[in-house]
Amino acid sequence: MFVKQLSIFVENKSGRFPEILDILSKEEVRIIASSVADTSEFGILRMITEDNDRAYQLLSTNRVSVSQNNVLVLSTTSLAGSIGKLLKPFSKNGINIDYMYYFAAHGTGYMVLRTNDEAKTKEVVLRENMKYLTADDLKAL
Amino acid sequence: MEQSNYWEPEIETMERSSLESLQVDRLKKSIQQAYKTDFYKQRLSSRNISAEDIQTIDDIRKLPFTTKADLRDNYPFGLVVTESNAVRLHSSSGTTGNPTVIVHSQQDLDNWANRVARSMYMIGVRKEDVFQNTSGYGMFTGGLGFQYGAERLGCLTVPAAAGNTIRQVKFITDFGSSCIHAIPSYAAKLGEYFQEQGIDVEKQTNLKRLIIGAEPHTEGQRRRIEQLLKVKAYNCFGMSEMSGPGVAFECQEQNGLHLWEDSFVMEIIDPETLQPVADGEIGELVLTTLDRDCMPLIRYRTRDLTRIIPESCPCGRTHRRIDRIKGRSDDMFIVKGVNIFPMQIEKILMQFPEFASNYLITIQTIDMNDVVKVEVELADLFTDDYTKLQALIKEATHRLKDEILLTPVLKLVDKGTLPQTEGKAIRVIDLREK
Repeated sequence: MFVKQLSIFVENKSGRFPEILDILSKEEVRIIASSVADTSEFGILRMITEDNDRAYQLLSTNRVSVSQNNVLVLSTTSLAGSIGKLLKPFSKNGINIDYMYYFAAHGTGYMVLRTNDEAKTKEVVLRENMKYLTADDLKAL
Repeated sequence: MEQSNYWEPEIETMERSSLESLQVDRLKKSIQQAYKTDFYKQRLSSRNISAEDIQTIDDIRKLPFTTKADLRDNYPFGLVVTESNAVRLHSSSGTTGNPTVIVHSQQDLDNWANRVARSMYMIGVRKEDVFQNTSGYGMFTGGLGFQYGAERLGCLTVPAAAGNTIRQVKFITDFGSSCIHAIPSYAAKLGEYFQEQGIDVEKQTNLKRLIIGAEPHTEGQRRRIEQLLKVKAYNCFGMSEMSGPGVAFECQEQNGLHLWEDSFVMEIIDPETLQPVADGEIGELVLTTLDRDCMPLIRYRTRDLTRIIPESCPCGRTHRRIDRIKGRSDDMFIVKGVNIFPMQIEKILMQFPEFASNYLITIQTIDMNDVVKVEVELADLFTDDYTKLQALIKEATHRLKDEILLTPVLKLVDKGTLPQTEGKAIRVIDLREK
């Protein structure tokens, strides 16, 4: 149910962002979804690629501090109004959303979620019959 | 027959009283030898001191100190015994002023190689081992010093020299290197490289032990290196003025370094008053050579800070131990009247597994204010939650403040991005106007 996401430490210095993306583009690793969280001192770039293991290896050997973690990707029919509906079952069951970001492909919207409790999240997704995407689904996008 | 634990049992486990009388005899000879140089002849005779003034080892305090400045001022051969047949010269880099030059006779080189062999034997290296040396060769004594020592011991010796990690790793796996000598920052780099490449040290190499030295490092740094490379790392101490490596070395207890007292007299002094400190207290290490033919040095101020561990060691060796080097009296920097040693900062940084082992301290003046900036490399990202990273910075800053008594600016940087030298790591940059 969960898919891997890469989290990348980005030092706050000019040129660092394209440098990191170049490592991946040179090896033609496609990025499917991404978002950035930033503070005044550094940023964290989160992304899902079509081959996370390879991306992780490439980044790690090129002096980038990176980690892999699990996220949930849900499809949403129409964006406006549907997100609240989508999230309600989580809050009802006491699950916190650490962060989320949105991406679209071929006219469909997708939400990437990281929650504080994977086991509970799994229960809720199954019980509510939510449409989630596997790593293979993502690759096919 | 069971192999002995000692390379030279009769010397390594000699009764203290016999060892001290050996020292007195050899010290007298060293003074006589020193008299053959212009420098010491002038310095000793002007104080009316000769070998006859030495009755007990404490009489060494009657002798004047020798400093690095003396070596520089008498560059290159002012302290060399001209009648000795010199066969080798080593010199420091000499970044400021004249380099220091040390000249050796064949006898000196043999004694040195024997001390290194004795030290390596102590940590369990045997002639069946394959020894790979990642020291720079040439003038840097960690190269040839370990080379001849390991050969004396009978090891197959691989003079890989410094740098080129990919080639080092190929040698380690292809030749089955079982013992490696590296400066600590490079040992950590090797370990991190193994980890990145997914190389299983236990299964894919024959590595059994490491020798680390030449750079002061903390116990935390050593433990991290041991975890990365999954073998024990032994601390060694030496300096070119005292020939090179093999002055003092850890035994398998890994609790202090036995200083070879048949070759050196050690004293610990207060660097301000120049008086001896009480046994066990930290001060500057002062060494006198006892078996150097070509270039005897008397009461040489090493600038290295350490202490004597007075208790006897369970390994059975009677040569006293020194504690790991706490820093150099000239590495110390003063900010807002506070004395700070890089080792204090390293000690704190190593408490955090989230950090990699490389760091850089920069002191600069911002708005008339001296600021200590500490950059530390992040290991693999442990979280994708930036609030946790911020909390980590806050906690580390807090602990640093407790240690150095002022608040540094702590900055996380990507792993492998701080300057790394093939020789000793650069730890402090002082950008303040002098």
